[in-house]
Amino acid sequence: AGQAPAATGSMKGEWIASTCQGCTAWCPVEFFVQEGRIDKVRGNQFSKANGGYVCPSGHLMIPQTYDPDRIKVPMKRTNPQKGRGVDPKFVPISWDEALDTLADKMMELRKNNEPEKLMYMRGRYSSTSTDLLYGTLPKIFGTPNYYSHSAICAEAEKMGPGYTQGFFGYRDYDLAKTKCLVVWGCDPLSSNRQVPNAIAKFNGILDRGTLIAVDPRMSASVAKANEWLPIKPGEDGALAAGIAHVLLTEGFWSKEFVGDFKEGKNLFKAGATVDEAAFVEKQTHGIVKYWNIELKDKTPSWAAKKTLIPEEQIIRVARAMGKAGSACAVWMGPGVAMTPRGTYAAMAVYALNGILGSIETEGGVFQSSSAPVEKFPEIKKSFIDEMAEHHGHGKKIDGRGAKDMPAMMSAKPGSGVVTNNVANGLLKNPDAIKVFISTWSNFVFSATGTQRWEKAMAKMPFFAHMVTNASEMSQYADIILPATFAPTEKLSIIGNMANLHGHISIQQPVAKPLWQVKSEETEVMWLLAEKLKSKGFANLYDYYASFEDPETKKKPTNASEFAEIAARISSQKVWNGKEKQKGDQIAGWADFKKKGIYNSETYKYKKNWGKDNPETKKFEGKFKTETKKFEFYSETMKKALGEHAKKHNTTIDDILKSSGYEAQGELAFVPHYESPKRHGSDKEYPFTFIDYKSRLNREGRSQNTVWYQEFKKVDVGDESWDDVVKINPIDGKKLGIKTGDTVRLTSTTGSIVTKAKLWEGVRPGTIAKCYGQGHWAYGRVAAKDYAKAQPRGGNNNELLVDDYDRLSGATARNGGFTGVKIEKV
Amino acid sequence: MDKDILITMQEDLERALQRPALERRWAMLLDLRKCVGCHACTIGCVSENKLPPKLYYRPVFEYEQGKYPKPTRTYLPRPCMQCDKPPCVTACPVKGPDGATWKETKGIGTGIVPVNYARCIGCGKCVPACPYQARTMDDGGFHTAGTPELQKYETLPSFEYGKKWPRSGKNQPIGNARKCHFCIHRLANGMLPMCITTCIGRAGYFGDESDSKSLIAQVKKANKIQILKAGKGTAPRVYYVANETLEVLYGK
Repeated sequence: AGQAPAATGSMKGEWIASTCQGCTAWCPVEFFVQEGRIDKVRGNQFSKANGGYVCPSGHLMIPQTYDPDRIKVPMKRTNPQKGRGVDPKFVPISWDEALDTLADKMMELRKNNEPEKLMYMRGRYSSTSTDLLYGTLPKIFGTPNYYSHSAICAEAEKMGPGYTQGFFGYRDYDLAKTKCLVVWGCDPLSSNRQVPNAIAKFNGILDRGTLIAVDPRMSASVAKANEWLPIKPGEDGALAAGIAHVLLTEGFWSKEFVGDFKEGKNLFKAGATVDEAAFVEKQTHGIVKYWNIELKDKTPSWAAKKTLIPEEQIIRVARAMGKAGSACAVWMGPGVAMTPRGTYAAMAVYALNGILGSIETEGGVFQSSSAPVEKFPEIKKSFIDEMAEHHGHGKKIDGRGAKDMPAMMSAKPGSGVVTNNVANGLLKNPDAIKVFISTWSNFVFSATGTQRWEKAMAKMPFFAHMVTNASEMSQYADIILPATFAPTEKLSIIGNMANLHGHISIQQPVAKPLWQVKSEETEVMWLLAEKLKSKGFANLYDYYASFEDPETKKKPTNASEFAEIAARISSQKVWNGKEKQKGDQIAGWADFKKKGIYNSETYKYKKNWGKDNPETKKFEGKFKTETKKFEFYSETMKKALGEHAKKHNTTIDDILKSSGYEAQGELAFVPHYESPKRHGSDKEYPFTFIDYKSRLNREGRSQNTVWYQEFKKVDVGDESWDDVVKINPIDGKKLGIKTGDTVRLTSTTGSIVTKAKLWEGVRPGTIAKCYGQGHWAYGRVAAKDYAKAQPRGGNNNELLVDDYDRLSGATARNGGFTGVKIEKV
Repeated sequence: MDKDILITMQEDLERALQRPALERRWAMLLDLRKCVGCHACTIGCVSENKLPPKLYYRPVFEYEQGKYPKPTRTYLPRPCMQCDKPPCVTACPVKGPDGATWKETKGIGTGIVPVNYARCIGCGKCVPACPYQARTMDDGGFHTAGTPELQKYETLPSFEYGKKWPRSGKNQPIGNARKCHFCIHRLANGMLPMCITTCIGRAGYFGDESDSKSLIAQVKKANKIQILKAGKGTAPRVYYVANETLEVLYGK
């Protein structure tokens, strides 16, 4: 928006469009290139998602691209021993040798009739070209063992809108109109899917209404909020119930969305059961059941005891929300959901949007927008041989679908990935996987209970790792393949949404890469397919070679042509002029590459609200739930749990019990309070540990840039070039700990050593530490001593226990589920 | 939707550039109510001016007050104040019409306090003279010092004061005093200062405050304005809008 001409200073340069993937916002950006080098970054000037801005972490893409510690050429391991601090003795090899070795290992599996012993795990990926690797290689080769990183991120969040509204996805918000924003368990100014948009709109919300933040620590959002609710970690379900209780008893529910009592008199009185027949619902299902089963006794004074938030503040906040009504958006984040019983808290917090009727309203909460993407050609049966067909559908080692791991994402039991459980699967059955390929991942650092990954990786017979830096996980690799740094070196098409618009944006090499890097999902797959073909397995190659350019109809003959054709296939709808698009008008591929983005039309209010059909006189709902309505009583949950129980020949109650939930009976089908689970007794581990993300994290990949370290203080309470655990001064006094002291934190799984900082931004009894530091590999800046595997600071994931919200399969990382003790070192 | 303030300020800038230099009065206004402390301005400025380690033209200071559960946090971005009575100029020994630092009276930078790197002798006297710590000596460091190779974006020239300043050896501005200059090189190219264009929260205003139609003039008029260390009599050209009393946080 409104930035002036491209030229800066006297040296010529040009702005080239691409896409940042440092967080899940996937911001369309532009890079300023001078003399072949990138030297500035800004948001894409055409982007409606970020308004032409990047957040501070966007600027770190320059030092990341030019990081001297990047992997520059393929390498192989010469020391067969694997472990933390064991020098792999990598030596440089050619791309040809690297892929030849990998193809040989893969062919060996096929020769032994065990293709399922190939495993692929993806970390950060391109939303389109991932289909060429994640969506293709396992299918054609014949393995069920492919896993996404997604369940260590925020997957459990999706259970909130999923089991109420039938939308298993991340939400959007009409922040330009919101009158009351409740930021709950996340910090939109720092992370959570639309940082520049949130920063740009925050001030307007403060001018118009109320900003409420629910977080156990003072976050960047809390620092600007009118109301801070420093909740006791894990008690979000109690607060949501208390607020819902006030909204109903004081008559703040949306008459337009939820409906009303027949007689017009509010019968929601604390403790009183209500006759279901007395209330007529509109777009919703089960508000009275929700009241009767869960809410009637969940008074604000009850919630105050659980949450440690004063009762009067709960009432005040609920009233502010109620007054804003359908212009109040509850922005729920992973802090609510990524806990051992997170599904129900996510439902309870999200259901507040349902009560307020702020679903798809002016100032409310929205399902995600999208822009049109063309799929790649179908993988025909002819590309899947009998071995692949037979072995490709076997049991997955992540435990999904087991009696105690329902993993019911998208309302389908056994469909959700249980990323972090793969390590347990490998440890339980070390012969299950013989060849492991992984891209843009670092589970040895990024997954809770990292120690299990260290053990599993030390025993992995063959591991090929494709990343930008020699990460912790790379230390266990047999072959290292240098990946392109996606935002500046890779060609692909990325789709995302924010600010009521969907978009697709290009990712392209903005300057010539300095090193022998290749794109993992396109170029490397083509080259690997060629290798496999030369060794007698041609199906993968034949599939890729069947692609054709949407305009010239030319088929790819090499890796770079394949990458370009793939990008042109994915994006063609927005630039080929065949169908008129409702959003931006783009005049061909060259125009798209130059602009770098297509924005969809604006999301229409109440798009998925149902209507009375005048012919049938019946209400026709549009939400993708069982009842097609917004379900306060989740028939969708009831059906999914029923299916899962049936598969295991047991009752729903038994499933819930074995999966670690407290609910029994009808309670399981409504959003409800479950008490927080905690690893480590209060006596032995008296402090509750909370983890959160850095503004500069770039998913844990930016720590080797000096700017990350230099600007670390942008995380509220943090210090530059350091890693501090924040302790309330009252606790500090009790423990005899001062700011700057070195402390050891110990949980039931491990210990880390870090600096202490006494800070008023965290409640007594709770300690907070940012995730990001603690690398013992990754490069010379990230690690204190890379050669000796000495970390800079401590990695929270060594403290956090591997546990799950088993209904979703998501990894617990929030909600204070890990107790720690603090010792001065 | 309202017009983005950046577009308005860009139009203001284009209008200002049509006017005679002596009639213009460049000024900056920072609305701390809008600042979320993201530091995109600091990092954008480092990137624009290719600043070495520990040298920031545009830091953001943070102030925490109060006790749990009611702590408060205020962010204060601090560029050079481009004082009308600049004590740094008084302190500089290299005086005269061809001095090392002065209050500019002509051309695009009229009203700004520039540094002539070619004349600066690196004595460092201006540094303590500034009550805002807006000046820093460039010690010649690189962010990527000690790594196998210096990153090229650090050695590429910067374009301060409309000239190329390649960073190598003992080239200027290494050894000189450095400070924010409202991005004169950008103004000359019709662009707003980098910190203004990177401000995601739209907390920063820039323009010709003598133009009553300009956004900065209007915002200045409509709000209660504070300046930093008013007691020092420096007459800053950077104004603040804040809920807090800044002299309590920043000092008198």
